[in-house]
Amino acid sequence: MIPPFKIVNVNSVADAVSELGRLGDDAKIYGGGTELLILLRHNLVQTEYLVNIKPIPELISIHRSNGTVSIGASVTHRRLETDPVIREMLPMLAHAESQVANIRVRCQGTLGGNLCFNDPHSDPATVLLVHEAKVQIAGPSGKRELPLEQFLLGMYATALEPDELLVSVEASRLPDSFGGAYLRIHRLQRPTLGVAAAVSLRDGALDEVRLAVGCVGPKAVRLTELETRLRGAAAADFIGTIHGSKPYLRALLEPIDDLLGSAEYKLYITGVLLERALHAAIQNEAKAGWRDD
Amino acid sequence: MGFGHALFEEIVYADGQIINADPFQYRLPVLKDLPGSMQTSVLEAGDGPGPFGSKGMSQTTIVTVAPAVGNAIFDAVGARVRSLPITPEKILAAIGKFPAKQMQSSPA
Repeated sequence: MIPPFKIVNVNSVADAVSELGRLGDDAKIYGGGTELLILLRHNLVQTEYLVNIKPIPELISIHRSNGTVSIGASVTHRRLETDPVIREMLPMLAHAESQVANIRVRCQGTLGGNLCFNDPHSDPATVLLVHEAKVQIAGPSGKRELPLEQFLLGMYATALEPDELLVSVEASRLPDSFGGAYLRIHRLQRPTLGVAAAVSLRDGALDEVRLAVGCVGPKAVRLTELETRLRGAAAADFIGTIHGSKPYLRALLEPIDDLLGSAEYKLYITGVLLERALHAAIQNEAKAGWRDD
Repeated sequence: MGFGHALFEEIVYADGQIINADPFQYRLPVLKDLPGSMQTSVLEAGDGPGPFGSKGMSQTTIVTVAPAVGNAIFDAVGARVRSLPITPEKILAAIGKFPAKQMQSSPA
């Protein structure tokens, strides 16, 4: 049973911020509600007011400028999966979004909600890290911008203040010389593990490498040290380099035992998926098509 | 049901609490998990208590799924998984990819 609450509709970002400031701790932001409703139902969140941000037109826009795409916080997973601009500019994101939960959740849940809840078992953040995404936040003292890496603080924790609203996410498309791929495995609806890779080649060896891993630890992270170690590596050396980086991965990802598997299992699968993702990125599988399952 | 207990279903406890008591966390097989075709052989004995020696069936065959899957895995990779459900993690541990962890699970 969900205790009664009142819905406060807002039509602009400024109104949303002022309502959040006025209502303080008694209010929560309501977008798609797919994460929020679960927490309300389990009484993990209590709230008197839901500030409904769905009527705000600014938050449902997707627009491109040069090499970047700006995605409004209320854009749904389903739209990211199917939108022609996203498929062209950020095919890896479209592919990852096509695998989020199920079609009902994808039609309802939003990118902004997903990032703000920062559930460790989630797909979009992992891909967006490889696209060097930034988030735009509106608050009482105006707008601020943060790299996604600094926005995601830890399990269910972000840099968003209670009176702030995530407005949009800006992601850069991969340079033309890059290929990308997102691989995930799952047994339940949420992913057990997700790996995003983007690479460019020079003389048959890796030149630039971007890697991100999600779901293993408290939050999705870029693997900057492993990226550096892989630079210049030929395909035959990937697995050796990854195996040699196990202590680094363990310290960075902080794997834990949970319903989805033991820490040892997750660490092992991280290595397997990293190697596969590197090969898939070289083949640029993200652009090759989407599986609808 | 046979595929459920062979591959997925498990009540997991932590500190005396069931931690997967909802359909979101308790995995049941769905259509995608099932083989494209299944073959059944029936051996009639006619020794049941019903008319013409009939007796209940169907659920009787549930117990055969787990050993069939377990034997198929042994045939494929040479490793035995000796607890249900048989998960990818247990298979990888059985073939020595990483140290096996003692999983918390329902009392036998």
